[in-house]
Amino acid sequence: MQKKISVTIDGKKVEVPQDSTILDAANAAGARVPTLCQDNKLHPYGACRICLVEVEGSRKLMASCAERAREGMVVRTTSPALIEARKMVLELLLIRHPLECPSCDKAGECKLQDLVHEYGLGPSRFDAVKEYLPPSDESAIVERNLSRCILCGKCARICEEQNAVGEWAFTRRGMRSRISTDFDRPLDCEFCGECVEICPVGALTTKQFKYKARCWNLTGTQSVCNYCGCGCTLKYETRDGKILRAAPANANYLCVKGRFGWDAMHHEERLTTPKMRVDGELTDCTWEEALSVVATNLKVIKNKKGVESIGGLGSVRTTNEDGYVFQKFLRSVVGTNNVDMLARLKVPKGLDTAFFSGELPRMGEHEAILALDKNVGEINPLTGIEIIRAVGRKSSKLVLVNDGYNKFNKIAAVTIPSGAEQAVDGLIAALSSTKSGNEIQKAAEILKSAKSVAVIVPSRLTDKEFGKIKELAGLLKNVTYYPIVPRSNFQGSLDMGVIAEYLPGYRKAEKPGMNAVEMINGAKSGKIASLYIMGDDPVGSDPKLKENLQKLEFLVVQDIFMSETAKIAHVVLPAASSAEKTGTFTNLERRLQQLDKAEEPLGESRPDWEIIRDLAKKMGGSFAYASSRDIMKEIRSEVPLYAELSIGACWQREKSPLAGADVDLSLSSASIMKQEVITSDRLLFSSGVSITRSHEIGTIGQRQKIEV
Amino acid sequence: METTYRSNIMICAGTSCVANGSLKIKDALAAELVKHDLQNEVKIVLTGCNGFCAKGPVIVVYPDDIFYHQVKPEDVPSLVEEHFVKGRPYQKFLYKPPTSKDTIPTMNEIPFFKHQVHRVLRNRSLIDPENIDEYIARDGYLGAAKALLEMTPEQVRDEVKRSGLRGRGGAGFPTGVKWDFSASAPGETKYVICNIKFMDRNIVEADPHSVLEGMIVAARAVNAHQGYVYVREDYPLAIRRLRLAVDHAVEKGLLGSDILGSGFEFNIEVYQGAGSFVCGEETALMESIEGRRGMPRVKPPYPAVQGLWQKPTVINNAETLANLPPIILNGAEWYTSLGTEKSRGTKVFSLSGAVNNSGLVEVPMGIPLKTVVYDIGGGVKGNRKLKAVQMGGSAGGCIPASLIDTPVDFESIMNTGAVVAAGGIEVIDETSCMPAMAKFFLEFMEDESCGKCIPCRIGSGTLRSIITRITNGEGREGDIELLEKLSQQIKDTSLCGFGQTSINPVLTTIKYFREEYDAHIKEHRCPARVCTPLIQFKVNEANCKKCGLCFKGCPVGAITWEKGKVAYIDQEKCTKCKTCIKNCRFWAID
Repeated sequence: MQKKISVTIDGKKVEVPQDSTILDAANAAGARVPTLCQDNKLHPYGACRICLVEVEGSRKLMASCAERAREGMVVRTTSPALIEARKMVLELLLIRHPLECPSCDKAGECKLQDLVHEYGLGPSRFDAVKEYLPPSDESAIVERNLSRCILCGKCARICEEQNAVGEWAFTRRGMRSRISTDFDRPLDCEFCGECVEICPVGALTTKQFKYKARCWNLTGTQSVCNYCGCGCTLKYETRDGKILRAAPANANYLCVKGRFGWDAMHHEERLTTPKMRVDGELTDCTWEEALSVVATNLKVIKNKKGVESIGGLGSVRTTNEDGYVFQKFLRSVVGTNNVDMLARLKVPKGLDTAFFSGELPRMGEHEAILALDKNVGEINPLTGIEIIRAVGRKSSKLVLVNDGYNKFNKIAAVTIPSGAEQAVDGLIAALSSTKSGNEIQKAAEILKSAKSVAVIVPSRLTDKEFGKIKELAGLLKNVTYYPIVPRSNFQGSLDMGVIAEYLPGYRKAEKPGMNAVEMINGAKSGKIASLYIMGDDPVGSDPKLKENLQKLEFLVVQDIFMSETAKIAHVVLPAASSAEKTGTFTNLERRLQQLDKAEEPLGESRPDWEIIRDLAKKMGGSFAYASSRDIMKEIRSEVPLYAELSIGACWQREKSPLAGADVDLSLSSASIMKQEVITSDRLLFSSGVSITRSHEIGTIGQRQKIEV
Repeated sequence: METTYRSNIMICAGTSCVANGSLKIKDALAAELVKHDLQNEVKIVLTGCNGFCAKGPVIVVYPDDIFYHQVKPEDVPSLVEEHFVKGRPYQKFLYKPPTSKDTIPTMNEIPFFKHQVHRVLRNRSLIDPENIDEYIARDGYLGAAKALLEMTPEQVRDEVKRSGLRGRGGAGFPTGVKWDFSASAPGETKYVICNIKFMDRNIVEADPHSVLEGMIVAARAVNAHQGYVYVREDYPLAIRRLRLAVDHAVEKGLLGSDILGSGFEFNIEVYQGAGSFVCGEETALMESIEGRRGMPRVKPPYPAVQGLWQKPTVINNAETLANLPPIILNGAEWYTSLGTEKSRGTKVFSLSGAVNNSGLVEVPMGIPLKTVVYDIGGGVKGNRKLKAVQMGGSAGGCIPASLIDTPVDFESIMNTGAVVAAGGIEVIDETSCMPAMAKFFLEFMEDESCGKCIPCRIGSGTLRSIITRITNGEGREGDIELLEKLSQQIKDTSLCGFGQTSINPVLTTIKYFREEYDAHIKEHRCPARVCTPLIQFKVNEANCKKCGLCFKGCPVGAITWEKGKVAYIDQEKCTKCKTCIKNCRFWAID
């Protein structure tokens, strides 16, 4: 337990943890101390001088954001002198700050505006010196309004302290100081938009939201970003039922994809009506027609070729409820265990890594972090951020394995300049030797002396590589794995049994069905006559698979976009996007997260579970779900891991039926995907079905280094 | 065997004398000595700043202690002939006080030097700063040796605490007490930093080893093993001499892994800063060494506990450090023999402005300001009236002529609103306008503010704009009170010492010269005739002595005058260049 100290704030005694600032104590006491340059995500800075308080026994006013509270301290957060001092700060800012609030996107959530109002500033004692500088919009995504800037430094600090990018900095001196990039060139960064989010005034705004709405007209809806396995909770802000902005929930973090990539859901290639193939062409039809055709065809094929000739490929982009209903439909209504996900191809090897990630906010509890994947910040941006926070705020030591150079090199205690496999071999050797000197030895010393170690595990590993990592872990103390999980609801879909070998909750299927690879190969050999693909695009991933799928007698694709696979389907069913439905995700930490409906489904599209429920009804099943809540109720009763799992909590690894067992859930892609994979060093902007459809992210157009 | 010389010629090679041509004197002397075949009898030494900068180039001849000033290369042959061949001082370059007809040949008899006590500047005009042997010959590194070989860190700190030495930086914090904080702060790695303020430049140029030795003493006191000297790049000579001094000290084993066989390790790196005023602030300086923009950090934590790279750090300026070796060598009692009870020892000042003898001076603490200005400084230039003394540089304050008897010590000067530590004494005569001077300092502070905290960044510019309108004759009723109020608020709320003291020129000029501000605002008049928009350029008949000096000086022929008549200024032709005002001795132009 952390030691508590007692502090008196405005006559009220409060107990706060020992390392609290005066501001923390004031907040605990419910006192309102204004701030401009302070943020809990940043180190104390003490620049704006508006949070000054009086401390008994001290001659000087103290910046409460930076000054530590001490036992017995007596603090006054308000007094005539303090109010006067705060008014002076505001008055000085208003000498230059343009009063263009009516056309400023920040109005209504501007800290300066709020404080000027709160302190009731009247006519100024000083002459205004307004200097209008036109907004600089040469950068993608972000617009900079220098004349509005109050130089609190938050943008520069968050970019450096939290993101380790350091794109913004102060230039020039005195009154001419300004926030700028190197030589004022356009932004060339990760475009996460954290600087915009943290800007207390309208100096940094986004082009996406410019003149779209006043903030007080926005309605916030809690949802989850579905771009990667981190599953950041966020708030979609809508007006007239349309998303206009996304903000991180829990004041945490969003990357470029989460904050700006939602516009992909408004892309023109969204499916808005069901379609069926008539005379070789996909033609719009009604839901009734489409579902009848699907039901009839599945029944015919079942009778003709047997139930084992039908298979279903589920998705990691759909909710737990969607996945649950999907597998239940196939297993109980169609009657086949041929249910799986292609996403298993991208799973790290081995049970430990696939399931047992540590919790991200606890990254800083580890004394050392071994990052075996240099792309962690691109694939799982939040994991990358938590590494930086751990190093910067908790003094964890980072051992980075990187054969190139990226932002993590700047914060690493040691960088091993090689590939992961070579580094792991080297570390194993170094841990059992006593030589010293080179990077590997220094890294080994750091890892060896750490009381606990976080290991960031790459997403693609061979058996041999994973074996080596385990061997290395065996030489260290208290290892927690943090696997890289590229896909959003991968964990949830596994939990829901969208996998050939297991029923929901990892009950072993008595008669396991065909896995995804077997089904894709079966399409070619004729063993599989019909596939129902929900939310995946195998042809888009590998055009060669088109040949396999074209052999199918009946292909149903249920998706939000007209994907390459949908283009060769017999029936295409338009699904609602993640922002258009209610449900839950389970992220890589096994954390249950709630999605609420922010927008109405586009056109005639419908949530996946609803489509399947109605299809099941047509085929004689009795799926009586009125809402996704009904499904969750059933999941809670069927899956013990979820029985008492509340929103925001992680299910405990010990409770998994597979705990301790050596089970491999990954699939080898060798037999179906042989093409060389082309990737880029800017995966943030360039990968994925949805990101490539985001207009906003498409404007970034950066240099990219292509790797084959 | 080394040559033994009968005479040494010490040529000042401080920045000011070099600018006045002292290196040419050196060449001329060398050539002349060869001509007389005296090169093996008379040695020429280039020293650091002698201090009497106003009279450069300056040379001193030992052992006779003869002081020559304003030497010209063409007279060098006569000087050598007279002094070194005939053996008598060469009259032409001997010092003659403004009030007397007789020359004073001996350096220590000259009033400028007579009232000084040289402890920090103990080696000035005596050694070649680039020769470590000469420093060692003057008891150099004996203090460090004693600290390392005969004393424990506690004893070193105690000695310094008992000496009462206070930091010659800003607040005058007791040096030994500051060391205690660092010494007791947890952590193995600790640092010692030497900060070089404007005036310290001459100390390090004249005697770099005294600073390095002081750093060794400080390092011993807190058990630090790495030191940094932070010098701004504008002081290239200081940087060169410091680097040379470090190299020499390392060669002699006076720096490195085992200093003088004591087992104590200490290394010094000379770090070149980009040259920003605010980098004199200790935490901004550390940010700069760490490779970031020099912006002050919020305190606490104080550097003594969490400084450079977050490690406990002792930061002292060169003057404080140069005081340490003799304190250790001679003991605290020796040090306390000079100065006042709370301000011990001596203080180095850069004496400048409207004073006859400008230069670098070192005086015992407690000496009356009057002695510094009138005896050492030789009084106000051109027999003008003393108006004020500005002490403490841009962040300092003005002391009016009425307080000229104030003793020079930390508290007495602080009570006037000025600052001792920075070491600037600027003499201001009656031709200076106080609001204009405050504006000058504010312009500097506004430019040099790092921009981090709002009161300093915007406040100093706002003060400047208010004073500007006052000096432009557009001052408003209530402006003085507004200046006072805003200054006080900036002082109370600024993040660092820079902002907190930036308002001193404003507050002290208002405190002592409020009537001048009033004259500007209410009477639209600049009493010192400095603020051009407030000058009418009309001859005041009552004051005019009809001397014609204004007429003679006017570059555009705007003035008409006849002998015995009052001059007249043609407003059409006048370009307001103020030459007439400078020439008029009788305040006859309004």
